[in-house]
Amino acid sequence: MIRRVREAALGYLLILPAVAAFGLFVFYPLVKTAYLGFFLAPPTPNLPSHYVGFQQYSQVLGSSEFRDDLGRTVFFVLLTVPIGIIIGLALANLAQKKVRGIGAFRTIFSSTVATSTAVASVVFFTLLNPQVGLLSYLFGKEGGNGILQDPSWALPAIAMVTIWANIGFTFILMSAALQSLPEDVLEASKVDGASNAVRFRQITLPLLSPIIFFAAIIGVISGFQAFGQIDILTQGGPNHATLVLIYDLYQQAFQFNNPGYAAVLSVALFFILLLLTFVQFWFFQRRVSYGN
Amino acid sequence: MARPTIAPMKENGRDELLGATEGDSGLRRRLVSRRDLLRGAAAAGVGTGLAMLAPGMLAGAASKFPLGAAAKAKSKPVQITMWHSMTSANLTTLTNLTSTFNSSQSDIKVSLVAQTSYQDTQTAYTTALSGGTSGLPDIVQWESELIQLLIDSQSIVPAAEAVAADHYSFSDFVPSMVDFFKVDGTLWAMPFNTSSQVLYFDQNALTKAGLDPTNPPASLAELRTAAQKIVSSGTAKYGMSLKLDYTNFELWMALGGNTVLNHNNGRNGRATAVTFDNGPGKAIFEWWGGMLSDNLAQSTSFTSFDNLLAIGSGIAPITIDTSASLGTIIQVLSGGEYPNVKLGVAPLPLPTAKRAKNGGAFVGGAGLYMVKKPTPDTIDASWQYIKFLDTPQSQATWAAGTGYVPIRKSAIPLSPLAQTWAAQPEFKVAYDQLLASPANPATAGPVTGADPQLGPVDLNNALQSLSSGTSPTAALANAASAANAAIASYNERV
Repeated sequence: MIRRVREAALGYLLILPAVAAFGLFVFYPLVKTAYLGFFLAPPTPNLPSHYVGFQQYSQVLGSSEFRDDLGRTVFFVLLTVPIGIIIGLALANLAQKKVRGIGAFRTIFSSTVATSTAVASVVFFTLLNPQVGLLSYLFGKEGGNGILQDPSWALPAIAMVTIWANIGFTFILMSAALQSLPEDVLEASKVDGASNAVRFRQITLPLLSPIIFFAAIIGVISGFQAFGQIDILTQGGPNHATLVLIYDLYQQAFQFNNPGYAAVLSVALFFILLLLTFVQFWFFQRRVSYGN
Repeated sequence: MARPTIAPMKENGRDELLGATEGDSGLRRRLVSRRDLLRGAAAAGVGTGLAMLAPGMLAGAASKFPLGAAAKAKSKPVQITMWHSMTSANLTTLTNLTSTFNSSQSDIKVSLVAQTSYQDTQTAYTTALSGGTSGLPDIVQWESELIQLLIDSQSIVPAAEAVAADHYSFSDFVPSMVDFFKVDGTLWAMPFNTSSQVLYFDQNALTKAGLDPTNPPASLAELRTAAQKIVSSGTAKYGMSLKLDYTNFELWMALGGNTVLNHNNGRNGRATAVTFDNGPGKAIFEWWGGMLSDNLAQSTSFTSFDNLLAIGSGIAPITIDTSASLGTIIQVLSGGEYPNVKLGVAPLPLPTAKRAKNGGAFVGGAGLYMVKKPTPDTIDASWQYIKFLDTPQSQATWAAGTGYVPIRKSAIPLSPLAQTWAAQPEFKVAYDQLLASPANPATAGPVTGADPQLGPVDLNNALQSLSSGTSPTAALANAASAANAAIASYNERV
């Protein structure tokens, strides 16, 4: 009995540093942020705040700006996640072919994993530049409003940059999954005379579902948090076309000096991601095959 | 929840806005929602009870300026730090000036701390404010248009206190450069690095289009005619680049003798609404929209130098940008990459054919602020150093090394500025433009704490919407309603 208590005490002692760090850098800021949302915050932190209760929450979350932010964010996620996974899966399938020099292609396909968001953004900023950019000339858009200055194309352009930057990661995930597929099942289906397409749809895809699910969760979460590319390429413009939730949050907090407003957006973002993760877990418990 | 009413908005002369059927309803809703939010705040009425108290040091009452405290300090030299946002050539010149100051006397030692950009300075400073004064510098170089935020932070010793104690004279200063930093009759900062918007053009392209490069466009109407000639003669695809920069709009309002904000541009009491949704504002928006819709100008982004690149690439040979870029432009052109470009610089064209009697340009750039610290000797040391930076000789060195405009007249004949200007007369254009500014609220420039939202977001969005077919009237109304909501939100929170 005493031994068990001792062991338990030792266990708690060992996880204490992790809990303390987590509490200090995650839980405390989380609670503090939610608390901040109850105040009209002054432009500089040394001035008095005004308590407004749930007023700020209901006003901000009920505003058309918030709905517009959310709509743009969801559109961005819907653009980036499925296309990113499809391209990653297609490239991984191609790279499975056992031909000479395939290693070089694998390196090329996975290379964007070593590219930071900032670097990818600057590269595309130059390519899409309407005065000197290569892509602008290819699309016949030299001079005038470039793609990034066009309200209807700015968000798709940022989605394209994001997809490109994430291809390496998705490719590596999918390649690893493809290589770990059980050979016997695939061979058995071959013997049974299944075509490539049928084999991919009926066997490979279900076996890959856990990793596709994983890529989808990661993609959705990072899509909701996509910031660097927007900050470098469009700063939320033109005319709010790329003002996603996280960028509005940043502007409110650091440019308009309105941390109370930003806190509300940040709490909203937290619950949206929490909800999405629950939905996705619920979905995977029913749909995803782990092979047994 | 209280439904928003129209009544309080009429005070600001914006009743027509709500009646307008065209325009972006989203922006109008923003106005309503924020206002409603604020009303809720007032209704809650428990604000003061839960208010966090400001650190005592910062909230302290104005005291007499501790002139001479640095020389009488117990331990010398008195160490002070200055946060700045200067890079490349500007940083080198500032570093050299600081070494000169440090070695010229033994009472004070200044250390420079780089904060990369004005935005970074703002973020770092406001963050440091939450911890009292210990994390703050003694002097901060702060972007001119953000002045109200720093005043509201209650962390600044007004320059006026030092000026009064020291009997400091501004008779030699260019008035428009000092007036910008006066709010409610108090001088808050000392001018240091000032600039203005000027017209840049390729003289060769103008000649090719049959225009006289020695007589560049002096009004918006002339600018349009010049652009038409450039396009119709096939000299370039566009007559000019219009950078999405609200500063140009605000300057054209000022050059026409018109304010941008009520309460005398926020100079006499806090501004509560914009004053640009009227005839002069509409004329500028109509001109801007017409240039874009007639393909006489291309719209370029606010955060890039695409408009300057377009002069080099020959897509559009005229543009407007800050005079602070002139040094860099000359450097790039001398690289030999653009052998066919011959740079010309002219004052910002006037909004009307005739110069408005009370119209003039206000300054861009930054001012130097003394931080309200508990130690009198560092406050006095800060003042001594700022005085040094503003001497005629320091200003001659500074302007020659950076391309900024000197803030006082007696710096002009001094070396090395005299030689630099003799070789590159383009540098003098912005100075002459600011020198010609009469002193009044319109030319002092607008002041509001909501400026980061009003300018780069609300006005720039409205100008952007002109290129996607929004009518100038609707775009201007959208900008006004969004800006008014931003101002109301800021004023309620401060």
